[in-house]
Amino acid sequence: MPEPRPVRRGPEKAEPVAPVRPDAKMEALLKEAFAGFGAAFGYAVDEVTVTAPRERIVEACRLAKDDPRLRFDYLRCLAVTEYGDYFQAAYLLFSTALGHKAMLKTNAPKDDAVIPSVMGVWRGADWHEREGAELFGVTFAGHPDLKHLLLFDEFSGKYPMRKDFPFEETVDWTPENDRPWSRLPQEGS
Amino acid sequence: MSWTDLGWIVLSVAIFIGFITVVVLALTYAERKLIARVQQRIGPMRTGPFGLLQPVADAIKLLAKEDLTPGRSDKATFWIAPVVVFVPAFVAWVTIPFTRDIAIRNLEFGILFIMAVSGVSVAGVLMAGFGSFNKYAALGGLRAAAQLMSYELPLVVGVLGVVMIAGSMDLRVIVAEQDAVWYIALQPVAFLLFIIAGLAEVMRPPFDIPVAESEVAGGPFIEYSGMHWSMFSLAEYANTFAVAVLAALLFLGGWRGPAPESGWAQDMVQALWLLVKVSGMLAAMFWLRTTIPRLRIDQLMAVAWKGLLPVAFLNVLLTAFYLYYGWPAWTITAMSCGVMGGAVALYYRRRSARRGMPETARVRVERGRVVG
Amino acid sequence: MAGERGVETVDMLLNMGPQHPSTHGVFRMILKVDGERVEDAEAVVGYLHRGSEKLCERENYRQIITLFDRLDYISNFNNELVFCLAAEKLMGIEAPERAQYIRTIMCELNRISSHMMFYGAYGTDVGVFATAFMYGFREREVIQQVFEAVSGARMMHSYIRVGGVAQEVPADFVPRVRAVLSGLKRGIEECDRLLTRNEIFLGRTRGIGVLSAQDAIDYGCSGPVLRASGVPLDVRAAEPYLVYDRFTFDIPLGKSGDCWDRYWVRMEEMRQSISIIEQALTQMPEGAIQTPVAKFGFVKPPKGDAYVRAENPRGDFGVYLVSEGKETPYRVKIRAPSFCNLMALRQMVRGSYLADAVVILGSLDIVLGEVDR
Repeated sequence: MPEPRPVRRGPEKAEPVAPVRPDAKMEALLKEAFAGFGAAFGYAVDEVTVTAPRERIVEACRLAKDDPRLRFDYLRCLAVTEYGDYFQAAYLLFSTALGHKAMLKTNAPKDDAVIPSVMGVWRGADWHEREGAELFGVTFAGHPDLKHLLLFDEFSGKYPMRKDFPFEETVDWTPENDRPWSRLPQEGS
Repeated sequence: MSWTDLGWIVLSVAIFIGFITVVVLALTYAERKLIARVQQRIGPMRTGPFGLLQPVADAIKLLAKEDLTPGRSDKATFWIAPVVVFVPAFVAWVTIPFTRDIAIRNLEFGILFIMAVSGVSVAGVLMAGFGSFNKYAALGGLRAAAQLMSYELPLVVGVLGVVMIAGSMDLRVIVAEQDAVWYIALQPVAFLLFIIAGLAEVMRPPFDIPVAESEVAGGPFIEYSGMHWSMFSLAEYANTFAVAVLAALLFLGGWRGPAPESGWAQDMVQALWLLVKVSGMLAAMFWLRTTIPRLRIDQLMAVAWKGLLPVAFLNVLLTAFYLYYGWPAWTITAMSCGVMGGAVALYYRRRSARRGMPETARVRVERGRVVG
Repeated sequence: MAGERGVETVDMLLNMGPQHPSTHGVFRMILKVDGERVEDAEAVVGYLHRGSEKLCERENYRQIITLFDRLDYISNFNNELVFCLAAEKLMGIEAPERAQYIRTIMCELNRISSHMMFYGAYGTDVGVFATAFMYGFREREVIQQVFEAVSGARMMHSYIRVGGVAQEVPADFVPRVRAVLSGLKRGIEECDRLLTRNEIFLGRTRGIGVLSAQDAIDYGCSGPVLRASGVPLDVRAAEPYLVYDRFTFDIPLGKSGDCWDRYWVRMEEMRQSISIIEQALTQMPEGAIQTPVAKFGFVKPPKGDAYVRAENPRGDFGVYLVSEGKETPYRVKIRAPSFCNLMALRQMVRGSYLADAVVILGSLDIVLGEVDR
């Protein structure tokens, strides 16, 4: 005989946990280390973000990796995001030796979407940058081989992750129309 | 040669090809069932009782399949290759006896004939590799050429020990000579050499490197389909069966066993004894297939040239001493065991000098904190 | 290029995949081979690209969970979890304790089933004719049945929700999982006996595809690939999420970073997962399984961005979530462990034998669904 299912209690009151604050020591450390960069500081919930100007982002990354107090040797992720009139690259860093984390950010205006490549700092930035380049059209200057990674080679000139790339436009395939994606609206049209 | 002779030859060859084909079909069924049991499955069950008709269904499927020719292949080479592999596999059977009296044509140099003929199939595999116009096929063909030629040597030299003791290349004589004791007792080294090299010769796991599915995706046979592919398959199984039968004849006393003295009953019982021994060999081969990973090509060559061949020559040397001085039989057994033990010990010493067993470490995490 | 004896030789370009038995899905490797030696390799991915990140910008938070199921389709629970954790982090809520335990148990079970899949596929890669595969799938099947009983689906569960889990587990959940675990222990030992110390297996995997700790960190490798190189980095210990800070377990580490180490780390992780599940089953409290958010689905995180990562079977799975305070996220960047591990492939394959290339690729245990997204 099957046992009765446990009585399901009503949902408990939603209790927002105590807001997670970033480590104050980390914040002070980052402020000290990036003092000369003209960087802005912020928070991403529990992480301190450092927004460095893109001209000096490679330098900033190099510093983050080499500074004995920071030692960010592990690039967790490199995320490109489109905001209004600029692109933002977020370098999510982690230190395997010291076990702490932080976020570096840099912005590039849309009409000059060029960000220096940090492949020289972490080789793991390779595919992340290729992906950002093909999906957002951000040129990672200095990347040795910025060709398509996920998209096919003919998918050129259009950047599907941009906000103006349409969701709804689909083109049915017909034998005459062997490359339907080429009929997708061009950028800006 | 009279017409009746010719008719008799044609008839017996026809019967024989039919017989071997049936054996091969049975073999595929047995292999599938046995491997399925090892893997905790039940194998084919849907076609006929216990899936007995599965080989027939497979054969019909293969016959009905379209025979594709790659567009840029070398047509002549491509189509002749299966024949070059198929024919030697069956020709070798001409001289293999099943009982004391039943064989198509007994040859005095039977074992030599078999070795010579089976060597031809290398050419077919190589032709298939090059004719297919496929890089995987070419790689597979080259692997096959390297492998088959390398293993021919330990195979032949290994069998040489048996031939020396029996004093004949006639398979019937060899079996008759095993009256007192099977040659596996006198030539255990040769037996192991024969099994290992034989597996490599018929490209069965763990020596299926030329046709490795996970590496070269079928190797030389990648472009073949339908009937031509099944010719390769038939040849492979015919060769597998031949290796098992030869192992039984050369080392396990062939058809020897309690049997009536004469008449058809004697033939039946003798064939049955051979079948029992051969089944044991085949089961061992299938078992190996399911449990052992594949070697790499360089390891394979190293096994042949650095391992098997010196041991084979040593075995021939010891056998020669044994025969020349007429030592008692147990000495050759003891010496063979010594050779095997020595070879294994040498291998493990060299291996552990190169690298011991793998080392690992671990870090303990207690309640979210690494404690080392 | 002139060979050793002045013979003209040419390198051959060998296109391995996307239709090849051992590329684990639709992966393509362009190998430059000199005979059996691999001179260079290039990984080509993207055959499974579905634009998941773009789709996330259109769907609401509950719908996105189904998209995450389809990323790493071998470890669905783990994927769902990371996205839910990201949303919860932005919203500043936490799932009830019981839900946390259920999540932990499901994720660890999923880790075992994923590693069993690896075991089976790896056995085939090194050439054991399907036996390892059947052994692995035999164990996996039992776990899949638990998944089905809990979530109603064998693979695409959509079970973990923002703020909890979808439904209460069946009444016989605890005894059933315990029974499964005791069976698994036996199964793992059996798998171990078949392959781990096999002489040919050792010959095929030891010293092959060596990745140094330095390189592994530099490439952003994670999970068993990183730990096989001797780096004791496990997100469950480095940044404990869920209730992992209440368990005691080992992080298995390799010493040389070769294929055998990667294999062994996974085998050992299965045992550790069993231990974690056993601890979780004893500790699991009664109580609610959803916060009101999960119950009614009003998921609308405030403006901001957050990055969450968790230890997936394949490694460190991260989600960078940007919210504009709407029903749909503004940007979701998925950091897939296979994606980063695959970057190291080129270096590992270079100079090895062709047959080793397959063994090395297998030891990375990639799932193309999350590489291509």
